[in-house]
Amino acid sequence: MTSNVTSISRVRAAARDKAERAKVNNRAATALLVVAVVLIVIGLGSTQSASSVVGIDQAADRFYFFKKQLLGVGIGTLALLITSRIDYRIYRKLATPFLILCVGLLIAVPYVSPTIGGAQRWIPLAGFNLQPSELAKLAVVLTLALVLDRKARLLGRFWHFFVPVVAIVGSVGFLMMRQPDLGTLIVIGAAAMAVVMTSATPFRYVVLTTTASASAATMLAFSESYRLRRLDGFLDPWGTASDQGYQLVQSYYALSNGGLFGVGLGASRARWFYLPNAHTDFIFAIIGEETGLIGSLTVVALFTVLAFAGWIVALRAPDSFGRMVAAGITVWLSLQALVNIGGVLGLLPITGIALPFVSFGSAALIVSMAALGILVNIAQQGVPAIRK
Amino acid sequence: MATVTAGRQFNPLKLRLALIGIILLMAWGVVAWRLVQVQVVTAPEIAERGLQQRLVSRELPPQRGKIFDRNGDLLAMTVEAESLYAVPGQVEEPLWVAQQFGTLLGVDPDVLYDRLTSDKDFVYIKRQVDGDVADELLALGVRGVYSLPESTRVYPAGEVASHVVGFVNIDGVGQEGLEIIYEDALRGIPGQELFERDKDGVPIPQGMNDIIPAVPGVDLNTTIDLPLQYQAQQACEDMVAEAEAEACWVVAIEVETGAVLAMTGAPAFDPNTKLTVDGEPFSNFNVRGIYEPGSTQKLITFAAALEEQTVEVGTVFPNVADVLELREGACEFDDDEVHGCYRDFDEHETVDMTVQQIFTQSSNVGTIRVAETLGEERLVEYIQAFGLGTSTGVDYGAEASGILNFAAGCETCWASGAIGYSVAVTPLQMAAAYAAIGNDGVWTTPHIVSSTIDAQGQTEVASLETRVIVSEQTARLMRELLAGVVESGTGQSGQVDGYRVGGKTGTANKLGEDGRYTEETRASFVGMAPIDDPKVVVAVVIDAPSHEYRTGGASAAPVFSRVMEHALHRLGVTPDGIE
Repeated sequence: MTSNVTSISRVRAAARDKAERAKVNNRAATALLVVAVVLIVIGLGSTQSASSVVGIDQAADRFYFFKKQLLGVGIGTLALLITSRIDYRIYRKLATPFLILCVGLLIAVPYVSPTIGGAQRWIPLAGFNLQPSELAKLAVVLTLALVLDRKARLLGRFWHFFVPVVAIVGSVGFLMMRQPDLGTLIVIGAAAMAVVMTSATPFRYVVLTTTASASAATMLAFSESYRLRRLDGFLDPWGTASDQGYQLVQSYYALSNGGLFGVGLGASRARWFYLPNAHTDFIFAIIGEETGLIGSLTVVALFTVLAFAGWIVALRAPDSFGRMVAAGITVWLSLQALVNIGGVLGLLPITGIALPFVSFGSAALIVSMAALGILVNIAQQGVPAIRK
Repeated sequence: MATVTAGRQFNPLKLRLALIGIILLMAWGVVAWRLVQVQVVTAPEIAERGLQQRLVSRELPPQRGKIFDRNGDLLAMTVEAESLYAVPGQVEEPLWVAQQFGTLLGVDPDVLYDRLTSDKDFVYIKRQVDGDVADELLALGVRGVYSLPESTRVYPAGEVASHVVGFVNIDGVGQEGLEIIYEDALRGIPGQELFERDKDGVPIPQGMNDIIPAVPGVDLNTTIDLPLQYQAQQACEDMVAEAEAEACWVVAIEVETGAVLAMTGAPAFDPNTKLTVDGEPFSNFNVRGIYEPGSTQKLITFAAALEEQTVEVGTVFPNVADVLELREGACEFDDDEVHGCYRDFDEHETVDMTVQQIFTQSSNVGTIRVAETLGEERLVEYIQAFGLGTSTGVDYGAEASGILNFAAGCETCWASGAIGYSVAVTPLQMAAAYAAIGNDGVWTTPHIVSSTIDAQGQTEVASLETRVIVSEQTARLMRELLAGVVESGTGQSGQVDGYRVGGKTGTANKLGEDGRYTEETRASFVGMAPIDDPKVVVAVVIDAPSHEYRTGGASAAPVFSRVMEHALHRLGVTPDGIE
């Protein structure tokens, strides 16, 4: 009897726990999806607004960029549906081949890529420009999480930690700098740091790698004259408003013009050829101009919710691999948004990376949505927050 | 890493995740703070700078006012034209372009070639070309050649009204005549268009577009009667040809109002080319030229004496000779009149003459005897009262005031002044002086513009200065004397069929460049009709006619007659003639 009673209450308690868990898990997953959908809708609207003038100019079609982006949303939705339904543990098997594929593509890039704006980052594929560096973000997060999970008990020994991290991040980083694409490298580095942080790696190694990669990034930033010039534009935009500071100054004009409530949808002035890359890297300035502080703070709030939800997912991940992947993806998306918006606001130098879910660019959108799907999948398998 | 602190279980991973969470949250906090700063705190000033970058202002030129004659016919108007220009750097074959365009547009190809090969960014090929011509040339598709709209001033009446209307320069700014004196009114106020443009200069549809419309210039209604102006000019041109004169000037004014009905002359002048037929620059002698009026001046001397009652019409002056020597031996010198020797135009026996006879036969000696009764002081007073020595105040630029030479110590100047020497007047001054007699002794400021028309409607020109100079009685007596001159005196060729006309001839020798009088004359005639109630005064001056035509009666009076006849017909004056 006693045992029966006990077992019944246990079963009941377990059922209650499970229901409770499902509720929290669903809440996190829903938050992630809602945030993504709202950001994508904002992205579609602002892409149309920001690109219609350029679309008419370049392709005689004001919906030219909108249509391409819509196609990206379609494929991305498919990717999100698939990754959110597949148990994330499958990537333990897929991660390594995926990384090898990415490295292969990155090696191929300089031989096949068109040169756009002094950079070679693309592989032309069936009318699209595939951007391997977008795939590489996901590949690095997955493989690093896999390696650090497998070596969990050996991480106290420096070389067991150091060699795989340097091998994965270093190889991708080296190939990235050939393109060159410092912005994406910074995002990948930050995501890798998040994976390392949430692994069993001793904290002193974490501090060491953080310091080392920060120094490396700083050195890289000063190693190329064009990056130094970008730095001039960042430090003194008004003094260099006609060249290096031009884009930032135009961004300020757009945001200031928006003010509190914005100039209205489709009424942006900056998009009339004043603000370069208005529909890609500087779409946030267009949002700020057309919808004002209200709109721009909404976007900021959405990304904050995304970070918070991702953080909850990492906290509740059922295993350390899931936790590391969740943390890596969350930091990747958050940091990419921060670096992009920071550039638009003059808080950081302009690095030429897109605002996740919002900027025009199908490749980035599809990969981001696939990554979000993985996050959703981990969320749905969440357990009460780690106790050990 | 420590896993246990103070006996409490502590999870390092939780701490690390918390660290990531806090960093991200702080970062987004900084972004939000920055957004408030950029979009609210510094926004007004920065947004204004952004706006200035996009704003373009374009001046909207106002339409220049039109000028009408008294019947509503156009004397001056502005029409749209095209100005052809080139960007020299873009012109590929400057030599070919210079030859083609130069030939077709009447521009010297060499000059054009120099312009097209200059290092400027913008050169005119020709300004204000007719739109059709410009379109035709642009259709050639020559690289680097463009056009821009630019209005141009045209004068439908051409040379007929040119002396009154004047002209504008290539930029449409008044340079002469009414065009310059009414420049401010005619020009209007430029408007401004303020719009936001994109980086290529194209207006942004959603952008601001403020238009302050240009205020068109006011239109001028003049007192000029174009048909009379035409007839007056024809009469002048015919006489210049007939008398081989250098010039002829004629002005007609309405007696009661001072309105200038016609003001013209020969040689003619084309305001579209801005030159006279001889290629001389233009000047309106009627208001700017001065001449010694000769006998026409005697009107003032006699009016003054009658008004002051120092003589009556019938007063007899005994023993009027044909020579008067005011200074001993003056007449023995050649240039006698300067030194106080006065002669009548024709030699005659010494006779007794009435005041009327002296006037009708225009005896210089008799006139000086009449003036003697007044004394110099009163004579000068009347000369000034009749408006000599002072510009009339007509609305025409750079009017001459004439010269009165009554310097202290000049013993004979008063006598010279009495017969129209030692003074210099404009034709318009003389016309105004005669109009005062026609207007029962009231002098009125002559004027050309009667009213202005702007968006608010028509505005009459403010009332003009008038002043009483002599009594109605004196004026009537003077008119009778003038009628006598035309009926039986020196001015018989000034008669007009069907009307009683009064007038006075004048013939004065021209001063040479050396200050001595020459054989050349200025022949003049000033008169009015109908004499009982005069409506029009016409003044005619012929400059240097041939010997046969050298008197006012011979050359000026026929022109007067022709102009007066047309004027009376144009005004619909009932004939009062006694024939």
